[in-house]
Amino acid sequence: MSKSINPVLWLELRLRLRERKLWVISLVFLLILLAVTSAAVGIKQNGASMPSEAIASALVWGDFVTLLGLILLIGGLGGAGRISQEREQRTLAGLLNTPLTSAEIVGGKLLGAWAFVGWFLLLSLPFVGAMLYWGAPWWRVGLGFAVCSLAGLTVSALAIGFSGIFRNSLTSYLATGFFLFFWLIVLPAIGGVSHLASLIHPEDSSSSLAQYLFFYPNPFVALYGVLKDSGEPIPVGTGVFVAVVWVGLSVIGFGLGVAGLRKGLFAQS
Amino acid sequence: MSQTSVQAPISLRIENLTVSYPNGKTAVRDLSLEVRPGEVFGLVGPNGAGKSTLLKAAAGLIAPQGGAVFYGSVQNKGSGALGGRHVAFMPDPLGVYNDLKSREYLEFFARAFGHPHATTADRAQRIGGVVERLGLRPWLNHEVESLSAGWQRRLSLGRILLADAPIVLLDEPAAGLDVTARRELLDVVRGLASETRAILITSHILPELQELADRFGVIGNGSWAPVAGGQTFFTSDDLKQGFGTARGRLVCSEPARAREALLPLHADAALTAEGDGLLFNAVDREAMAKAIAHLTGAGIKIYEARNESRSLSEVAAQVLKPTA
Repeated sequence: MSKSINPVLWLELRLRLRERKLWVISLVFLLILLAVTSAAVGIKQNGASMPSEAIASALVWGDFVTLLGLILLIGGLGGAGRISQEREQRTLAGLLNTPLTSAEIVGGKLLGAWAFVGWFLLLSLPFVGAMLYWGAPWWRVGLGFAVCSLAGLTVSALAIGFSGIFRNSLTSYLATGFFLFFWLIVLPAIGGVSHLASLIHPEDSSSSLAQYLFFYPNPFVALYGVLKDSGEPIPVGTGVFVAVVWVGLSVIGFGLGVAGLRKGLFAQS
Repeated sequence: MSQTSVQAPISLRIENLTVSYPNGKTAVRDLSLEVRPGEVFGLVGPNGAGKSTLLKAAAGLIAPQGGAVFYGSVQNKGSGALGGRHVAFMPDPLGVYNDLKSREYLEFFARAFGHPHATTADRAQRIGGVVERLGLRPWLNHEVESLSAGWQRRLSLGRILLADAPIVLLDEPAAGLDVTARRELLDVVRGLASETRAILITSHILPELQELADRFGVIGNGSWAPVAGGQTFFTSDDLKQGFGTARGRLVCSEPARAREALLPLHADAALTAEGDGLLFNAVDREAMAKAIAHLTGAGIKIYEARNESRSLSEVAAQVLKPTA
């Protein structure tokens, strides 16, 4: 007797592997990482005075920022439409008429979307090897991986949640794009203004709170926090806070997916 | 032809079910029904009558606002997963994963229905049985998208067989199929019934539904529409016997004169001269025998006398006829 993988995850992997765009994006991603790595190593070979740590730092920054940016896009695109497409191709009733629970179905879809993120993390492993070879601290590389992975989970889960509560795929893609715009641009802007306000009025605790809520949960700020090799390190408490916010958002996305799974069943006849 | 195993036979029981759309409109109103193991129940009604909603609620896909659905003694209050363990539902319109190959489609549902305890060998055996039974082998490596509507329906029936459920709900299974494909599909449905599954089926192709089902109900505006004599459900025997009021046809010479000759005898029967004979809309066997004797005595030749049964289409049209 064997314990098989979640059938919906099995289905998602089958369907996604057929998507040519995944392979095209993978190729472009590899070319970008190759260009970054080649440039860093090329500079080292042309300028003998450049220390190995600088090469490692260039690789870490170049590769992880590229990786995070791609993962946020891929996680969002991979998750949005997962449930609404079932509605559009009228397969939802058949999928729900199985012994699988709603949580198993949405869980399988979430893991399928997150597998995209995992795939790109896997593709970046040779470049991680290069970072370590040039002397990047392993813990910094590990934390960079953790930030990318968790941010990918967050955006995938929320995108799946949107595809659950919105009836058609276009709306769920738009909602995911809106969330990314808000998460990556608007909230950090508010957080940045709050930071300036806290410098002018250090006694005003609301500015610090706003900075905490809006600035640190930005994935690029979090990545900067774990990758930076000078100045004060980000306190552990802040890191935990960010992780809790992201996991919380993931849980909300998952819950929205489960709650919206049966939406539109009346309309399918 | 290999047979799939069936879980212990159980009946589908629906008690006073009420289901409303999200906009508050009632789709199914206080409706009760029992479909017994081995029985095929034909559900008839116009578009929008509530047939599909009833089936979805019976499968646990839609939570009812009132009443209850039982699989044997197990009550389902709107759980798709619980429904998935007892009921196999073919929805209309039929949705299939176009990007999958037929083999993968069956593999997915074998995994979903066997979750989490099925072994790989068990799955392969179950899929093999279904493939042989439905003749799907030539299409296993074709993408579902490339299959004809008939083969997509068969593939979907494969999902029903893999579910191995004692209750089967089929919503317009023959929609969009040509005559041959419909015949083949209905043969498969007959096979399912012979395995003591309780089958509830809707179809707009009433002549074939009449052939297939043992019992019928007509639904209009979410409720049962009473048929002749006020009864809610009727059987194929009821149809054959015209609900107790036999219709007869006499093929004879001079139909118009025959009608004139019989009018004094059958003043209360709807008697019409039609084509090459006479049609009695309500007459018993004795009255028919008397009529034949009377006409023969009047020199009118009788070529043929037969009872005419009621068709499901006629009954449905009569029951659902809009009232002024």
